[in-house]
Amino acid sequence: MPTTPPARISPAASAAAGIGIEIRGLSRTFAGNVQVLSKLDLSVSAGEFLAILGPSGCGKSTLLRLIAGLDRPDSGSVRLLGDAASAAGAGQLPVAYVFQDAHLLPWRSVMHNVALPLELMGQAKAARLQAAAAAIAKVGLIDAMRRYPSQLSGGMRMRVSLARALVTRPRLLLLDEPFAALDEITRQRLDEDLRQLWMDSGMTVLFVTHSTPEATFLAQRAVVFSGRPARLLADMSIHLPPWRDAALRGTSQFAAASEGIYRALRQSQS
Amino acid sequence: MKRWGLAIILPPLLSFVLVMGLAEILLRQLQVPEYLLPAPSAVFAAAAEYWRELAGSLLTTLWATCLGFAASAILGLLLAVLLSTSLWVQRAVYPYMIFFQTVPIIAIAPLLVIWLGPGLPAVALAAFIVSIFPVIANSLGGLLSTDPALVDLFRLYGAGRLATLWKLKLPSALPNILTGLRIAAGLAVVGTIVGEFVASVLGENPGLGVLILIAKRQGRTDLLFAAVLAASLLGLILFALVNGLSRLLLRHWTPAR
Repeated sequence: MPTTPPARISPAASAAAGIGIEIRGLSRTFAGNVQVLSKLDLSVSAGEFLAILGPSGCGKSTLLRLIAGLDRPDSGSVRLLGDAASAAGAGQLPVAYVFQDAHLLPWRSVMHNVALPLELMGQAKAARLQAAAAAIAKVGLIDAMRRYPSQLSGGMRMRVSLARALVTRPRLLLLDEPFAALDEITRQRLDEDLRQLWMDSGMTVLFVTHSTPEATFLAQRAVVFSGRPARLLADMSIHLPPWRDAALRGTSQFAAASEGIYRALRQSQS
Repeated sequence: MKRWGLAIILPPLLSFVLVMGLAEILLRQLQVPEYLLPAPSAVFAAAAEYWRELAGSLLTTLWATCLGFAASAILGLLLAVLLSTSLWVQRAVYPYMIFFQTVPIIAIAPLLVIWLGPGLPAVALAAFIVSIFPVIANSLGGLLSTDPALVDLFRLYGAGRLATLWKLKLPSALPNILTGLRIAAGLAVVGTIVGEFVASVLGENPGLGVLILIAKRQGRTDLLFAAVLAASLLGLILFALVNGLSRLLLRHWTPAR
């Protein structure tokens, strides 16, 4: 796993810049007149790590699905900005999505699960297996490449899911409470690795979570939504050093940053 | 491989010996007449005496069962795929599928003879009719319960309908499809025997259904029981085959025990 010393923090090469997002007046109502999003505005700059918090069912997942193009808004727009949003090389897709659970295919080995996106995009076998091996290496699972999901722990399965998202070299990574089902230690470790992957790649990351410490540890910026329909209650920068490790969690600096998000979240649920 | 050894064979064998022994003792003590309920020893004696006829009948019945079963496996799966493509098709066609589940095969078997004449096609068709519904129902259930997150994932990467069906929906539905086949295998044996009751031609190797009729006419209850045992052996073999297939195909789905 990436446990690189602070020396390597330099922002990733601009050639692989992240995607900026411009959301204007976004509304989405589901059957039964359930208004989940109502005229939401939000901007995310390229390469930003944004944490999204809010009460359950407030529309965070809907927002991610709309950004990924898996759902269409009733009105308003989502624009993906930057060269990376349109320019995609072979076996590259600008946007990737990680679900709450790993959602792997049980009949496929780790290798072929990770290669799946490239297979669906029509990449040749040799190229996609090579790319899959590289993505698996990034999440530290080289030794488990030939194993099957049923032989892996929950944390390992989530890593495979992460590798599957990274295999298309996305410039925007959307994660919907990805580590919520894991135990605390595994979760913190995955947080550290995700943070490192983000620093190495320069991609934009949107991370939905219910945990204020997790948001504090990971993100540069956190937004807190109200209950349905989601309105922006708080939008704050997290002023912590870019190099973050487990020791940071115990500092007063960390507690102070976490406290700010926590208060906004409390307010959102009252 | 050791798991295939004694630990698997022994329990059913023990229970079989125990039940047979108890039946033997009970029937002798109560002096039940043999034409009503023959003791196991008499049944096995009859089976030994007529083993050639029994084996021949078993093969005849096996062949008809396999034809009917294969047809319901293939057509059932195809129909399930068709039904899964749209809610419209499902609503339009599914009620007629229920027909296959509710139809009393014994009532329409004579009809099959009128249409096809007595013989193998009518017998296999009877097996097909009674065994196709569980294949359709279970496969359809599996095809419709694909993980929506994975459907999203396939959409995100631009997979077409065919790729989604072939690489996601069908493999996801495999456990359900195999459950359907397991039920269908047993039903196909029942359908074949009933079919043979009404639609068999007396040849060199009549099916087990015909053997049962002959034994009944001759008052050979022991032979009748032997034929019934052979029929259940047939069901057991088919069930074991589907089970083996299931283990092979699903070997990676659950952690190894």
